Amino acid sequence: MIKKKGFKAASLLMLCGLMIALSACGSTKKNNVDKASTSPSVAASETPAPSESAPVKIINVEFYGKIVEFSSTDAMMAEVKDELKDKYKINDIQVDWGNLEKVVKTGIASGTPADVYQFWPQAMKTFVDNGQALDLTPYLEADGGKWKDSFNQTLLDIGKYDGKYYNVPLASNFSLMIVNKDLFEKAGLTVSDTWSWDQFMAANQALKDKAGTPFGFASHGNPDWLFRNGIMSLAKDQNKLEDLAAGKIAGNDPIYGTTLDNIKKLYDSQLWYPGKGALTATMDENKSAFLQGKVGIIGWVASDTAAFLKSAQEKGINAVVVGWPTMGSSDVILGGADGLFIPANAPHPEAAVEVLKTYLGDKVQAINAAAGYPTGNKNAVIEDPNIKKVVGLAAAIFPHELEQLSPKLTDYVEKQILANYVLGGSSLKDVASDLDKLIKEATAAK
Amino acid sequence: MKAGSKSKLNRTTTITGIAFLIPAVVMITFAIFIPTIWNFILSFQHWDGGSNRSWVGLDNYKEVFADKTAIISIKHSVYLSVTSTFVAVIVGVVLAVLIYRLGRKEGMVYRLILFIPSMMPLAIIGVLFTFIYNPEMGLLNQFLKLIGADSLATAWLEDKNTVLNAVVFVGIWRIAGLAMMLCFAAMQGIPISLLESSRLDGAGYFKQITQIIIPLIKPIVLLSFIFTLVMQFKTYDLVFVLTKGGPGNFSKTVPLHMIDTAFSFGEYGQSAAMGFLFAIIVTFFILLTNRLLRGESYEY
Amino acid sequence: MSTSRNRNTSRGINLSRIITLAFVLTTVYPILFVLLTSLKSTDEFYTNVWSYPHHFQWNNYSKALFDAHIGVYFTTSLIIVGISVICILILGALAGYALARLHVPYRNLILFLLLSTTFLPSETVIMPLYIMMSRMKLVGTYLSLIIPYIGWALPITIVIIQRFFVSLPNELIESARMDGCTETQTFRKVMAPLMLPALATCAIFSFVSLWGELLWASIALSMSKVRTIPFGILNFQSQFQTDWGPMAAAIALILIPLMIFFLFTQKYFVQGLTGGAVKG
Repeated sequence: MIKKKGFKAASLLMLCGLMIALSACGSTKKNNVDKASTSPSVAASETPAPSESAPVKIINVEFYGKIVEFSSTDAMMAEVKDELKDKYKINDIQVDWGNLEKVVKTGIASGTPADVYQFWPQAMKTFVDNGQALDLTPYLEADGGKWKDSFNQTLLDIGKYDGKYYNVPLASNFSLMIVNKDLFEKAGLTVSDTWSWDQFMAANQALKDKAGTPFGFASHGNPDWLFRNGIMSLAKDQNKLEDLAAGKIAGNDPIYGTTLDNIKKLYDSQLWYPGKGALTATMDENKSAFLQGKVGIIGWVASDTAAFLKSAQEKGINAVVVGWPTMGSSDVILGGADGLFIPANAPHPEAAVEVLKTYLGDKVQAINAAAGYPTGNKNAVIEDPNIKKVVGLAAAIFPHELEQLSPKLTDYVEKQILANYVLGGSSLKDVASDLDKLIKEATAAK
Repeated sequence: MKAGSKSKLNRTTTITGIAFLIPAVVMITFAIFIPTIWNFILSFQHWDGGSNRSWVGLDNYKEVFADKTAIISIKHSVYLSVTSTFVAVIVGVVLAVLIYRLGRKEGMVYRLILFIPSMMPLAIIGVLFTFIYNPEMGLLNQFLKLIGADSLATAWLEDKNTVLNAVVFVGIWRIAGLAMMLCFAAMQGIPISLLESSRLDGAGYFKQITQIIIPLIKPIVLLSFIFTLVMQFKTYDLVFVLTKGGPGNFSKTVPLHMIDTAFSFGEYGQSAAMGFLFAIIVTFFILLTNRLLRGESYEY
Repeated sequence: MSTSRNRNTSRGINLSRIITLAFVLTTVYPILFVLLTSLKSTDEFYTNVWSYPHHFQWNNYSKALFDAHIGVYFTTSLIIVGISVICILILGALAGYALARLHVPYRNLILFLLLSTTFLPSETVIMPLYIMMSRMKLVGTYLSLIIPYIGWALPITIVIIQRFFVSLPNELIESARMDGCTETQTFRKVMAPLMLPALATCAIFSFVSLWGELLWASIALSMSKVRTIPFGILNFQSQFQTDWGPMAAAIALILIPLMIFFLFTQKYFVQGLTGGAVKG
């Protein structure tokens, strides 16, 4: 008994010791990560800041906008931190795209959000409606609109709701296609910047028949882009783009039906990588299919074009940027941008504005443009001809879409409609009634 | 005199008991009770995640019943949990019985390997199985091609008819090892003499299993059932990493739909209402399992 | 007669072995896949997903350990889950004992409440919990995970331990009380040593359910650089590309210590369960 007691006491003691040791070691480890994840120059510039007894109090700015996928991020953040080091200590936090909505909404609801959040300007409606986003118009228009003038107007307008700006664009982010020029030539096809849906379908077939690729096309991992671009192109032919976005086109309109049928034909043709599974293929799988020459066409996202072309080049693939095929006769694409906003209850709104101004300013965005990203800042010089083309394509962006009417419509258009129609055997009538119901709900809420 | 000392003893034990209980109660109150009460109130309110909050009575509950996706999600959740629990525990029992027969060292190696899936974070399991199920290069389809059953190959996580079962299979794969460990451990407590004497009576291993082993480990089998059932009902990560509930709603479960309803659609009240309705369903199934499997000696 | 029975038995054993091996294979293969992938470049991974690696990429491991900080995530997870499990066991043991052996009023009601909380989906509590945590300025710290983890795993632990104490013969406590032990002494001297097996079971249960927890971790830690393993591993899957080689290396690095740990503790775990932990 005594022996046991001794053992117990000893083990308890050890446990406590272990706990203390572990937590201590944990906190040092944590610091290591902080340092490791920022570049050395930043770490160096940070160190003197707190120890100085400067008269200005250094404000901590929580910046939820570090996009690790951009190769330019580290350099940009370092530059921002360096420029503002006398006033702010910027904590740049990596954007967790999969949880972004939850992160932003819990943050705002808790009352202690970050000062700046990454969020898509085209998806700001809920925040604007609930008064959760700071109106940036006064800052943009100050000094005779100096800040406003530094932006590409089309991109800036995406974040405009009822005449006020709530989100400022970092880079344009829209759908385009990239084709394998060598395979196209082998299949006897010519590459042109714009093409119709029929030409696109014919190209798929020709790639398989003549160039010998197992498939024609791989999507980006967002097959809903086919639908969204399709309905917009068809609506523009009838001059109904605004009506479409306002939910004034009924669910049984052929605009939806034609688009869905086109996509179903593509799916059933087995030319869409990898045949069965095309609607759920991930971005990685699609990308590797293109890089391995299994397909000759891939849908991609503007902001990652430079990086994509680079990996194609490494593989010896001659890849070229082209526009999205149009189901109607009109050239229009869904669009958007990657942007940032300041929550209405941000702890340091003024500081946040200044950080944004620096981050999106000419100097920092020059770094971004040099790395091949189509910046929202219009003064940043873009040299790469492919990226210039990307910037040119952005002219066809129409930023207002049906799916922006309500979050439920977004979910339905992005995740349900194709699955239901192409895989689930829903009829056009079912789709029409679903759409009508959701549109009615969304417009009634207004 | 005697009675007085007894009541005094009772009082001291009661005080000690409450003292022992308090730390746990504080933690549970903080992590579960307060948020739950918060949510219960919320389920009768409309809240958009901002400053607007208003009472709406039973509207949220009505909306859950009117929500097609919610109903589908409930069906999926029930199917997924019940099937995967049932199969996983049976596989676990079978494995335990099989391993019980093998040598000590050998059995230990098998047990170790079979328990690995239970230790793997689900995020990892999800990644692993997306490759097994991959339509083009996935192990499953390649295997089917190898044995000449090409026609059976499909996009497992896209096909409406297979996606839910594909998720169920991963659920089984993950948890069967745990059930096996529990049952195996319980079997260690069976006196060898009991098995020896039955063997002398001419009983084969199969007969021993059905007549001695299973009845004796029944309590632990029930515990495995209940533990697994609760775990599978609440699973968010498993479905999230495999399919995110898609394509469409084909594999959507209640926890996923609750998250969507709250965070994407901004209807926190409705999400809370769904949570409570779901808890009632889970409770029903737990009670049902308990009733069906209850042994004379054991009560959960 | 006897020989034929022996032959039957050995045939039966072989059959058992074959079926078990088939199951073992389904578990081993994916793990083998992880190990093979961990030595491939992402390029090679896509060209031959299931084959043996041609060029061994050992630097995937250094990438996972140093560039992706998987070692740090592992330590973080270990600290968070470790502290949680220890607290769960201590608090659970005290509460379970109290509910089983000490005259706590309304104990059936308390047990019922505890059980019913385990049926609630934890997704419901995310929003209120986050708001509470943020008011207490705990968001992003280790405590923001440890506190809820303890609270979530406690009810089932208490119920298991309570069952265990109920199953113990009453004489043990009575005789300890006769010897003049106070309640705390009785618990410490008589009960605690007996319950180690039950604790082992509860430790495994709570470990298994907390080790892979992703949803709350990704919300509570969103504004911080602290990452647990399940959350950290998702870093390899970025917006545009997944680095399969280093990711598999990271998975291998996580699994190997776990397997070794379990190899050594398995004996105690089995003993724990057989010691009457959950026999009721």
